Amino acid sequence: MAVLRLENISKRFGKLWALSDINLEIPDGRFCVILGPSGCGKSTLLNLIAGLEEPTTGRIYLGDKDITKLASHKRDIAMVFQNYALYPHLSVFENMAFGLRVKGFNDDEIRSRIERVSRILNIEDKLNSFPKELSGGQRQRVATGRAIAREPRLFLFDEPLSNLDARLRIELRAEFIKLHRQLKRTVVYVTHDQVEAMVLGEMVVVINDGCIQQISDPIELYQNPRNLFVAKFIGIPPMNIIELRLIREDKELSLEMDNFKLRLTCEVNKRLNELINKKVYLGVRPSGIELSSDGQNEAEIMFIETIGEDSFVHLRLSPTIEINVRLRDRMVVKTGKSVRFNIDFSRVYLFDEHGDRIYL
Amino acid sequence: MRQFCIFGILILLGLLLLFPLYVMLKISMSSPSDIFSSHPSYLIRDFTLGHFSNVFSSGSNFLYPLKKSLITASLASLAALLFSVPAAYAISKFNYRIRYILIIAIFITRMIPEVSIALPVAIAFIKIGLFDTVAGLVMAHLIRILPVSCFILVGVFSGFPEELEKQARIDGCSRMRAITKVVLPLSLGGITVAGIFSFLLSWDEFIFASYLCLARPTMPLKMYYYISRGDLFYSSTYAVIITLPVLLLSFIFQRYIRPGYLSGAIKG
Repeated sequence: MAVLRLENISKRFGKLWALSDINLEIPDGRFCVILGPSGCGKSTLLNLIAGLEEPTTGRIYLGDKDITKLASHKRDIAMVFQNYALYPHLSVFENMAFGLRVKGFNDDEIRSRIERVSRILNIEDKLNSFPKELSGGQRQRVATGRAIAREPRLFLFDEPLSNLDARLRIELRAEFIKLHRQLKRTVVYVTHDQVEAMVLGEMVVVINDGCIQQISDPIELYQNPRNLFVAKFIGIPPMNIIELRLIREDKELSLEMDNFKLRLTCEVNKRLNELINKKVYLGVRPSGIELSSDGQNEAEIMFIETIGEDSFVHLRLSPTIEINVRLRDRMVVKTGKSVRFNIDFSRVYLFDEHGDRIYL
Repeated sequence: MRQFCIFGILILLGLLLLFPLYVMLKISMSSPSDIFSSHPSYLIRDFTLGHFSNVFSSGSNFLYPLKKSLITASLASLAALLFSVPAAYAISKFNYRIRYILIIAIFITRMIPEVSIALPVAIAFIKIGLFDTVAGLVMAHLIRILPVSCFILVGVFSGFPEELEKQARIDGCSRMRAITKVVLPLSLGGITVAGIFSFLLSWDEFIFASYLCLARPTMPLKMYYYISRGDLFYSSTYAVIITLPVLLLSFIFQRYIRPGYLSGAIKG
């Protein structure tokens, strides 16, 4: 069984902690996506798993075996790099055969494996070509094929699609899903593209500043972000984040800033009581706001964006607050006019000033 | 028009650079009467290979220096690669700052004029029995070769895509095997350049040779001997012979020195 377990993994480069205290368990056969902005430490994490670098502290287990100190060529792991890393002096066939030859497989076995893999990936007619004769998509297929032919216990992908153009990316993304269904191997897939993470991941690990922010399935990540970073990072267009102050008037709590005011309709719990008169971030997705003539608040329409079937209206609530609202039911609105709107309180997320979620 | 001007200037500069070489070639292939006239011509009027046959038939007088120079230069360039390939590979793994400091440190040996260290080296070699030997000369030549070949190779290895090496390690190669199976074969172009350069630096070296050789001179020393005797034909014939191996080497190895050797490996 290829369960991958990371225990208290930290990695330091000079004075910089690239990763701190990472704990993660990926069950056998799971497609795990590690998602984070560039420079968050996600590629470092992959290098640690691959054995290309050693963690400063912590242990890595594959199955029951501790592989922390094991050299990467003994780990039975395959990795696909962002820039493909094909051997330019070898043909496509030899590129895929390289790892098998090193492992000492005989020629018949190598040939049959490569033929099978190249059929799956549609590169049968390219086996005698050299990498420089291939297009980007074909190169990525060869790199993936090289990994599959090895039949490793664990697949690592380091942003494999980010060098391809948008169409090809969607095409190959679908192929990755099919491949994973077919092979049923454990996959760790690093990306900065949340769409890839949402589409591919059975399990998504969000990383920022070298720390795990949240581990969950994609839907949960979208609907139930644990902190401000995840809330901001996930979702296109991004969630509206408004900085407000929690005010108590008589027995009612409300969030205020400038002339904008939102009454809290939920029960007042202990956590909220602690935060009175403090800074609070309110998050609401563009679809969680509704324009209506009997709305609680008023705002001015800045501009309207239409993307395919969806239209988004940018509203200015106060000189410092602007939000983005998804337009429902083909409503007709005009730039410069003022409109009234309601915030659906069941779809509001609150975060304290450290960015931690306030559960209501 | 501008392009035409630049082109013209380039041709002119090229001719200026090539002219002495031509004169050397011309003298080595002309009969004495052609050269010692009151108005020597630019073209070869009285062609002869006599000087070459004179040199080649002078026996050990010519063959020993040639042999010594060839062996010294070959050994020196091989030894240089043997040391500088691993050194440069290791240096290229450091970050830019440390790499820079190490390169500077290596080049400090070249900042000391050779004339000033040649004498102490010669005295030390006399004491340990390396004076007037090939081994001694090779070691002395390495002083001047190693920094240069290291410098070239650090550039080569720093430009090598890291992912390819990582890929090899993940594909099952140990670090050593990844180097021998992927890094070195794909760096042959740069290694060849370093090798030819090393050969050249030893082949035409004069100062160390003049201090460290006595009974068994190298080619440049032999040529100097004829120059000091004022033998125009011998010295220019020697000069031609000294020029040839470098051209030959570059020609043989030029297939390794081509751009785009790595194309297709990674997407830049």
